[in-house]
Amino acid sequence: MSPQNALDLLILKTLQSGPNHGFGITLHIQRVSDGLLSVEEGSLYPALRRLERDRFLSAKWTTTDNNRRARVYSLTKKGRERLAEEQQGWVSLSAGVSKILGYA
Amino acid sequence: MGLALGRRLEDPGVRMIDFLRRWFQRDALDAELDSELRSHVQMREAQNRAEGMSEAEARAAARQSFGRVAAIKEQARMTYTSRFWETLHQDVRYALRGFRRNPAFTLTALLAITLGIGSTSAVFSVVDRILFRSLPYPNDHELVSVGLTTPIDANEFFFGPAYLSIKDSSAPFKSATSWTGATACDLTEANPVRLTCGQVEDNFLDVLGVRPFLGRGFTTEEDSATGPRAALISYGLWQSRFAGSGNAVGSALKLDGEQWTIVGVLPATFEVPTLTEIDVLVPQRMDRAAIQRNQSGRFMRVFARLNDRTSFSQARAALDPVLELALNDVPPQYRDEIGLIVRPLRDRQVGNAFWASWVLLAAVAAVLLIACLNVASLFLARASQRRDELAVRAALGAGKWRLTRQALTESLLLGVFGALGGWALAVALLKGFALIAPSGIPRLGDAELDGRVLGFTLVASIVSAVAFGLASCRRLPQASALSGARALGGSRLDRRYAMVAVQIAASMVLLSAAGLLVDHLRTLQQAPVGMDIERVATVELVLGRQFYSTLESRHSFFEAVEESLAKLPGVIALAVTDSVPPEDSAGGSHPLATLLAEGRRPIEEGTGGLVFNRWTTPGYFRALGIPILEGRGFREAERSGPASTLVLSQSLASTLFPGQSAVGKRVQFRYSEPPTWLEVIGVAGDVRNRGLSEAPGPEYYLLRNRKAQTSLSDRVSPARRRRAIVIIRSQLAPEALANMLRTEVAKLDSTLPIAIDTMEQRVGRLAARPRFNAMLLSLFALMGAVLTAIGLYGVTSFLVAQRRREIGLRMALGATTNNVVAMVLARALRWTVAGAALGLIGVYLSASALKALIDGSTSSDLWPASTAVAILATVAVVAAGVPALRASTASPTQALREE
Repeated sequence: MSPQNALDLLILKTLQSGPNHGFGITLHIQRVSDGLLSVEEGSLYPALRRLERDRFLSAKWTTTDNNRRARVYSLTKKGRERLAEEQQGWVSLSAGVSKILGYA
Repeated sequence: MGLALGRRLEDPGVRMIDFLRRWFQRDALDAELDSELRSHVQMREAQNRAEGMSEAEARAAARQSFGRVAAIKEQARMTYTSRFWETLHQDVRYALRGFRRNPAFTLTALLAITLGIGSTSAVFSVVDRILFRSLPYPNDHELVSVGLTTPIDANEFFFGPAYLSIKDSSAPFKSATSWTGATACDLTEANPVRLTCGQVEDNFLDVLGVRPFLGRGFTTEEDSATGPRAALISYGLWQSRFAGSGNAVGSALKLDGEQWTIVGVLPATFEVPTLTEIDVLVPQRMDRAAIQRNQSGRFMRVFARLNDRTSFSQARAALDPVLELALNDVPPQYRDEIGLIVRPLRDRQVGNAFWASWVLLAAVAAVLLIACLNVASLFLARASQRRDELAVRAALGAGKWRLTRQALTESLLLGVFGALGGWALAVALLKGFALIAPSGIPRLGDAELDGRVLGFTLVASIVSAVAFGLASCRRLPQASALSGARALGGSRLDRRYAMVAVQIAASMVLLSAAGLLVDHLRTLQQAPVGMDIERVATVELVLGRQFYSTLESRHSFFEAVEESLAKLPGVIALAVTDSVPPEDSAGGSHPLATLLAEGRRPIEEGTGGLVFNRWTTPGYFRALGIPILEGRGFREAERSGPASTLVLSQSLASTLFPGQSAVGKRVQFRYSEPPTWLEVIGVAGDVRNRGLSEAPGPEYYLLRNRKAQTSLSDRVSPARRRRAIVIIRSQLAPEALANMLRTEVAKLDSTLPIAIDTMEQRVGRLAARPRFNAMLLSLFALMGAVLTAIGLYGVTSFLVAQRRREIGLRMALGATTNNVVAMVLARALRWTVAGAALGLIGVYLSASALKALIDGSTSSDLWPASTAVAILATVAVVAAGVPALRASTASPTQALREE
């Protein structure tokens, strides 16, 4: 699983709790991971575009609470399925990796 | 990793539509992306402010954290346009702009690619047909030509009994068939036409694996002397005489006054294995007994299919008994000269075009190599020129892959343009080949460019461009390249000079090969033919079977022609003969040892080679300007009496009667019944009678007497008697004479096809093949030399440009112009010498192939190689000297002030 897949997973997971815009996603990830993970904007937007292109996300322009225009992403049905798969994959991957790390 | 990451199942159609939509909306999407990123920055800014930063700090931090906006946009954009097309579009535009900015680079590279692709494609198209393309028969690798080899014919053949023994023995062939050659036959219908009829055995088509286009092949019954007369017609004849009508099969064909039935039409692609052009195929009409008696008296060309897994040498070994049998009929003294050969059909067909083809192929490969090296060298030079530019682009965020791709796009673009030019050049060259090519190069006429050939050369040139385009990208410039500290790429320059050295070596081989052929051609053309051929015309006639079936009718016709042509204005001398030197194909020849000289020991049988003979009227020597050295020529009066005299050529006279005069001596043909002595009445000068490259062979002349019923003229075969060549020496130019000759012959027989030539044309035609080879090779050598010159010029210019400062400094410190020129030249010439040395090895290695091409005749071997060295040295001095001079004339102060 590449870093890209990891980022995809993080984005999808973030959006599971509700629609959000790009900046919101970076904040959420940073906050929830206690600052351990920080998402580079340079990777975020291409990833968002890719996920949108592949119909895992849908996006529309809305106005935020602070009266700012933002492009808000939400999970599609396909996106939810994808999230389930990736999550499962990640869990088995990390379990496997931990075992190997613990073995040595 | 055993993780089941679900594959994205997507309908390609939907994807495509999505892609197109995104492609067409990409400006709108760009704008959207812009505003989204802007909104992101604003949010970050607000956040920063909320965390207590000042306005300015907040903005700066937001922007900084956002990183390189351009790179993000580029990456994000790639998700909605296809990265591929978008970048291609950009790269092509960029490359075109670059080409326009640097026309010298562009034109040189295009020239190199065009010449390389064009010449290679054209030559490969020709050679492909000769050497590589499969023959138009199924399982053509099984087909062989088999027969006896003798000094009297260039190709193998059999006579009846030996052939039957092959047919009867099961091994090593699946099947065998025979062809007894093609003869002129007249289609005697409303308007008569001279056709060519090939005579074959009934199983001919079966063995070749050819099925008639319409109708059927021959039956065994039709191949017997008494069977029904059946004929197969060629596709061409079917179209021209029967307008492609299906009714042709079954209809009648009147050939030489006899009624034949058309049983089938041959396919359009059909060719006889000997490559003889035929209009009609008829059975030989010989059953076993007839073949056994060797009734036709003609060579049988035998083609067979090898058994599976039988090699040529195994087949040859299995045929030893056949050779034994054939040798039984041969007088012991000749047995050494006779062998048996089994060879692939292609070898038989290609004959001496084989070496010519390989040499041409090697020559264009050399041109292609030189061209590719030029392209490569240009790209290397360009890469170092563009270090600054690339460094700037890298600093601006262009990734490594992006820059590499850019280089690839440029290479490919040049390749495509070069291929277009090369295609045009190849078409022109092929047209040119067909125009100037002598007859007898198999399948040249239908050589055409095909995609494979062009593709091959296109790939070759692109690969070289790409390989070097990539090599130049391997060490991508770092930002430090911008610092101005410029390391001189010494090793890189040496690499370019090494490429030039290879070019020089290849050029050298090309030039000396061309020189060898030109030299050979010059020898041929300057060789004295032993005749005075100015203002001499020939009229060649072959009488049809139907109207000239008897010896008398033929004789009286030839005499009528002789009489009427002799009356034409301006005729100085006229003769009728069965053949004309220097071609030897139609003349008669037999082993020298069959001639017995009176009072001398017979020549050891089986030695002495062949002696030629011609059957002529008395005017022959005057008409061709052959001097009578001793005695006299024939007299008119002798023509009515019995033939009892002959004239010898000088070389034959000195062989038969060494050290004494031959005139008045007598000569006899061994084995002639009853033994008849012939008196030598004269000795004529030697004439080139074995083509242009061989020294004259011994020859004697027999008189064409009116009766022609003596044992002497039995030595003249029936085929020879139907053919006659009238030689006319005239005060008029032969061209002016031609119409009169045509009219006169037409008065006697308006249907008889005749061929009028000048002797100069006939002799010139013999040099046509060498001339063609020499011309092509010279053309390629010229291309190679030009490309090499460009290469050397390019590298030296580059060297000079890079060392401007150093040169300026040297000159400021007192170096003279000469010093500078010498310094630059020295480096260029050192590599030139290295290349020439390499080239000499190549010349040495290629010599044997070239020898085969020029019939093994050796010219002064040093001449072509030394000329090549001289030419290349001149080219090198000029190509390197011009930039060297330019360097030395540049003002030192200016050079130092720059940079």
